[in-house]
Amino acid sequence: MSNLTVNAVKEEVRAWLQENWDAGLSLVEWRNKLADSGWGVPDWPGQWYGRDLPVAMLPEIEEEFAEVNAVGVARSGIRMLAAATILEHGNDLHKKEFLRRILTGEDTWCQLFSEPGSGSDLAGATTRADFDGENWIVNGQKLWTTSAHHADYGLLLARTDWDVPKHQGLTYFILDMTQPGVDVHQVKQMNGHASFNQVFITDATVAPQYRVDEEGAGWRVAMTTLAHERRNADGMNRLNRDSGLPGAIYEEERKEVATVMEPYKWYPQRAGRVDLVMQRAKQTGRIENASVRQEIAKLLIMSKSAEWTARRARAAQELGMPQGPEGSLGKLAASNVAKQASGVHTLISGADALLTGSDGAMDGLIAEVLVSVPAVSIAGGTDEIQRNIIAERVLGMEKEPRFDSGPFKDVPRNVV
Amino acid sequence: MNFEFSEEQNLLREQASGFLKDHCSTKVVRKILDGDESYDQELWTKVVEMGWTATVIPEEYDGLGMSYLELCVIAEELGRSLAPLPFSSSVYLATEALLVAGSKEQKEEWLPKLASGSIIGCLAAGEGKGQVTPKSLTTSADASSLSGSKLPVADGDIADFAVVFAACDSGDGASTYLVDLNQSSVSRQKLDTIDPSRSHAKIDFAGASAELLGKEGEGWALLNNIYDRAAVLFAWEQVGGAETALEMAKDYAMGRFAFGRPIATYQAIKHKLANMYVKNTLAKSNCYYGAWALSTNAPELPIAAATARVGAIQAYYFASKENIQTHGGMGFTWEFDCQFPYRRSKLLSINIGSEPVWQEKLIKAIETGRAA
Amino acid sequence: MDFEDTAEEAAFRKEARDWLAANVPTKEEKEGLDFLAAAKLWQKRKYDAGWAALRWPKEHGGRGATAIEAVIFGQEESKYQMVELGVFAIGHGMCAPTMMAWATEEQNKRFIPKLASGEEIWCQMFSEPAGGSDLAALRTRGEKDGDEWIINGQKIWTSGAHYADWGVIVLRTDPSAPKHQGLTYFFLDMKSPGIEIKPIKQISGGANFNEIYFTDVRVSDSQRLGEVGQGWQVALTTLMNERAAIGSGGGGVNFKSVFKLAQNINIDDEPAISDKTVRRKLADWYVTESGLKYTGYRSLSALSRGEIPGPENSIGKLVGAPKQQDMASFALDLLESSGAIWDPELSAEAGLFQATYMAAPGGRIAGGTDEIMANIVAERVLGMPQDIRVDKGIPFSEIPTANS
Ligand SMILES: Cc1cc2nc3c(=O)[nH]c(=O)nc-3n(C[C@H](O)[C@H](O)[C@H](O)COP(=O)(O)OP(=O)(O)OC[C@H]3O[C@@H](n4cnc5c(N)ncnc54)[C@H](O)[C@@H]3O)c2cc1C
Ligand SMILES: Cc1cc2nc3c(=O)[nH]c(=O)nc-3n(C[C@H](O)[C@H](O)[C@H](O)COP(=O)(O)OP(=O)(O)OC[C@H]3O[C@@H](n4cnc5c(N)ncnc54)[C@H](O)[C@@H]3O)c2cc1C
Ligand SMILES: Cc1cc2nc3c(=O)[nH]c(=O)nc-3n(C[C@H](O)[C@H](O)[C@H](O)COP(=O)(O)OP(=O)(O)OC[C@H]3O[C@@H](n4cnc5c(N)ncnc54)[C@H](O)[C@@H]3O)c2cc1C
Repeated sequence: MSNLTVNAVKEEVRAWLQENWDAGLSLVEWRNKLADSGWGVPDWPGQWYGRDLPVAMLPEIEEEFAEVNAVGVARSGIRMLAAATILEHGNDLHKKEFLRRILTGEDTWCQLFSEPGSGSDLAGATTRADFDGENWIVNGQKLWTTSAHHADYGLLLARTDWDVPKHQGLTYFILDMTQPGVDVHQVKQMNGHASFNQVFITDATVAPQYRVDEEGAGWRVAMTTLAHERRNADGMNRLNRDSGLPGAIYEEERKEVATVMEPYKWYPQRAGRVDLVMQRAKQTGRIENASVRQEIAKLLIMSKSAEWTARRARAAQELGMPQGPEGSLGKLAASNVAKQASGVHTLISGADALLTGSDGAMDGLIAEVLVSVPAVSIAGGTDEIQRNIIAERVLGMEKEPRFDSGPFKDVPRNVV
Repeated sequence: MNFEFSEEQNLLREQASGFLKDHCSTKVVRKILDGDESYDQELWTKVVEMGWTATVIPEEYDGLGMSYLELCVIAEELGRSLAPLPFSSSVYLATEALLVAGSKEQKEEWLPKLASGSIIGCLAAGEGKGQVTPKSLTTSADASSLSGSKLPVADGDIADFAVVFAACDSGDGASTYLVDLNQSSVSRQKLDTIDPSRSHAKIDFAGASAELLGKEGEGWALLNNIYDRAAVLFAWEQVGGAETALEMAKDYAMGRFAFGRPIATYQAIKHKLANMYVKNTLAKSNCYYGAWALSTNAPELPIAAATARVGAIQAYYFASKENIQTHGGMGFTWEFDCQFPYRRSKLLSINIGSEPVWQEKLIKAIETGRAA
Repeated sequence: MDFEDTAEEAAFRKEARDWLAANVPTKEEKEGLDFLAAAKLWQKRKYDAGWAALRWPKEHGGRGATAIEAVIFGQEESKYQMVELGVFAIGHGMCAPTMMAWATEEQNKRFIPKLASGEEIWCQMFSEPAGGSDLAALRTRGEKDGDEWIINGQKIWTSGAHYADWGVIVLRTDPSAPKHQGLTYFFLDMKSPGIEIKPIKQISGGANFNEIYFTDVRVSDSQRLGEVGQGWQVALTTLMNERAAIGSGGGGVNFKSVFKLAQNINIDDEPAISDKTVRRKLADWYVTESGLKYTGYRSLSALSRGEIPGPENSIGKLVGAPKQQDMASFALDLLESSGAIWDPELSAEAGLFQATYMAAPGGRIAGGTDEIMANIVAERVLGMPQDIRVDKGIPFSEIPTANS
């Protein structure tokens, strides 16, 4: 992209903002304008609320938004995964019905993939959808569903054919979460937070037009959703900017973000709070202890090398190279960093790390690190699975012999 | 060579384990974790009835006068069942302090009540941030009145009396006091901790009446001696807990399917569990050594205690975290029991001095030539 | 609970100790003898006085002693650090028990006493280039020819083959049977025509093990142990005995040697032992070593009571071998650049750390790799399921291999 076009685009958006940005509008009013103009998601197709601009242009455009403190489209939570999936696999009806309300933030989405019986083995899902001649009737259980308690729609992966191998019998649907057959219960984790839900689905219905892509194509569609999970995480980071600006529209936006981000508030603790290590070591004087110093050194080396590896991967992606299995490397590295950090925090804090209340180290934050870190090596693919992926996809080692390649109904599994 | 428990001791183990299976399922642990109670009173009453609190107290003080080997057996089973009881505070710490340093009158006054479980004791050494040393102690005492703040004190909110360590100008820099906690110049506040199934408190002493235990200026030596003795008993609890974690992991792995086969058939899981077994076994063997040293009052006790303690800390932590990992996401839920050993392992490992503290003690003891 | 011998054990220990004190060969006696000759001299002396192969029956040249007595004698004998006794380990520890379980009475009369006296040394020819952990995958062929079998193929890693007189060997006698069923077990004169032994140099510089090539080597059917096709069961007898030696000293780096090094070497002008990190590491190794020691004591207690030791004994090698490697590596770090020097004259502890560092990788492989030992713990001790198998129940000739 030449400088000329960048400048032209920047000028164009600047002019448009000058004319249209109005902090007095309601959030939905303003975002409808964004959708109509294509400036909310300029990388989307021109036909669907975008302007067909390259992704690399986005930071430049965002700069202009920031310049005048203009609010963007709704990005937080699962909704952008839904949008990406619909853009790639949905039909025009889906696009027309859902995309705009995703951007305006009027609808909230959740992802109904993991089940009690299938986590690592996601394709082993047993929630079933049966066509009764009129509608799809859905029965089963989903677990770990963030935001399900306030979601309007769910991205559902369900089994529609039990006689074919497991990856081929799945179909992807859009489920109306507000119907009677959908029952949502919060799940409390061992660190005391309740960030997830269990969703019991009993004879819920999906009209045929809300099937996404072909029957049996569910696994392929789900892969699109998962591939966007990373990009979405970046989007959430951008929203984390502190915009303590006065005004109703900002207030509305902050509330929206707070609601969606609520389940994630302990995530920094589960990553080990590497950022606090030096500060804690100095505060407590433990920095003088040789073995504490060595453990901190080890941690910082791990954490830096993880960061640089991630940067190399990102740089490669920006140069247009396909996203490789580095994701697994990064995931495993993050897990090792978190565990080491948790160990270092205990070493620094001693018995203090025990206390969770205001008497505890950093008001109990350190104790929260200790009870949250075990999640890192499980959530989003366990360490064991990441090692399998690295061995098989990166090193090219052989897969383990498989016992689940026949018709799914014959595959041994837990009955939940 | 007879490096084994006797038949009677093994019988006691069976009895204890059967009793705890009946009366201390993880439901009991969960009740305390979820509720406001500090410990399970009903279970405590039963444990007292079984005479466990009286195990090593001599018969002249209404105890059972058994050996420490019996107490080790009980400790292992309590650890295995994750019992939510003030047993370690009252028995391994407070009772030990009186047995080691109490005058005849003090023993007569306190031991029969500890034996009968009519009172609960605790030990108050720490004062918040980091490790306590005679240099860092700020709690002070003159004649018979004591002032200062102690935290965290395990079972401090429910105990009737505390063995308190205060600074002292002479001797080794510390003295030990017995303080009745049910007096007006003592205030207590329950603390939230990483393991809510074992309660902890902050205790403030504002000129509380206190009675010297042992000699003035010998408090630090006494604390170390009590810790050495308690370390062996803590280690047995830890090893019991570690074995529970391994059992839980194994049971789950055998029944859980992923990719069409039980996860117990994956080497990643099998080797994880084999490693747990290895660490647990080594730790347990070191506990045997500790039990022997404690029960025979051997001069090697400091080494044996530190060895047992370090091994047990590491084994329990490893087993408890890898148990969660073996359970996958379910292991991280509140509903599953994996959190209990994970919480308890960390609690027990920092209660009477953490891993680095005991590693240091071990090397120091070896340096001073008490190596076996 | 105590560490004391029972009265009988104490009496036995005293007898053993006294006899050893009077009879262990002196420096002068060993003067001019090589490793092998020195080992044989001592073994013969024990044999003549009834102190060899304690557990074996008297009529086979043993002492008919109890397990705990054998351990006590081993403890006393190990105080003399006669490393050369290693040459008998395979013959005494593995071949003899297999013979006693499977050979004829006549054969045992012929061979066992000579094993006991050290006059004949045995080796174990199991491993092959294609099958070590997967022992039952071995390919060396045995083909029946009248009253004899003709052997063709190759064995590898055979410790002591270059000085062995006899050896035990497992052969594939039926490639069309499933892999465990096509094996047959024999014992063999190592001087048979057609056997070619080539020493393999190890990374430690030593050459204790060998490659053996078999070209039309003939062995009499009378030297078969067990039935044709029963070789796997016989081989398991051998393997099960592999770690029967409990409580024997074992050389190499240990806590004491690294502790001593840390006292005598500086980091930043202070003795390394004053460094917190060094102290923590040492503490951990002490704890592990102590755990192994007392695990051994627990097994001994079982033996002392006449019981069979529990599964806890299976962890020794799995823990001990990597520990030695880590400790040696750490000691070399402490030595800084001088750690690279491997010269008995110049190196600390006469090169113990370097020697252990180089030998340790073998320790983690020989007699079952770390991974195989972990499998054994998971399956045999914890009762977890076997690995998913792709080589079960199909003819051996159809099992996938690297060269197929
Ligand atoms: C904090 C947290 C947040 C989460 N958030 C979400 C979310 O937002 N959305 C969502 O869909 N899910 C979420 N999950 C679920 C998560 O993705 C699964 O828990 C995870 O993939 C593991 O699956 P599982 O729990 O079924 O464990 P299992 O698959 O049953 O695994 C149990 C054990 O077996 C091992 N194992 C399984 N298969 C193999 C193999 N082939 N080889 C070796 N070892 C194996 C695992 O590593 C693990 O140790 C979350 C989980 C947690 C704890
Ligand atoms: C010092 C020394 C002395 C020896 N002496 C003798 C002797 O006297 N007689 C004799 O017969 N042999 C002897 N051996 C051979 C020894 O028994 C084998 O080397 C050993 O069993 C490993 O076999 P391998 O070398 O073929 O390795 P492989 O079996 O090829 O193993 C290669 C790697 O794969 C791993 N692996 C293999 N199978 C599995 C599995 N199922 N699960 C997980 N991991 C697996 C192994 O752990 C190892 O890391 C000796 C070896 C050494 C080092
Ligand atoms: C160097 C080394 C040391 C070892 N040390 C020990 C040890 O100390 N203790 C120990 O228990 N194991 C030991 N093993 C054996 C190990 O535990 C495994 O059993 C073996 O390596 C796996 O062999 P496999 O998988 O081919 O047999 P598997 O298929 O695992 O066979 C398992 C069992 O099934 C039986 N079996 C299977 N097929 C047949 C058949 N066709 N005919 C007769 N029986 C059959 C055998 O009894 C065998 O024990 C050792 C192995 C090696 C290589």
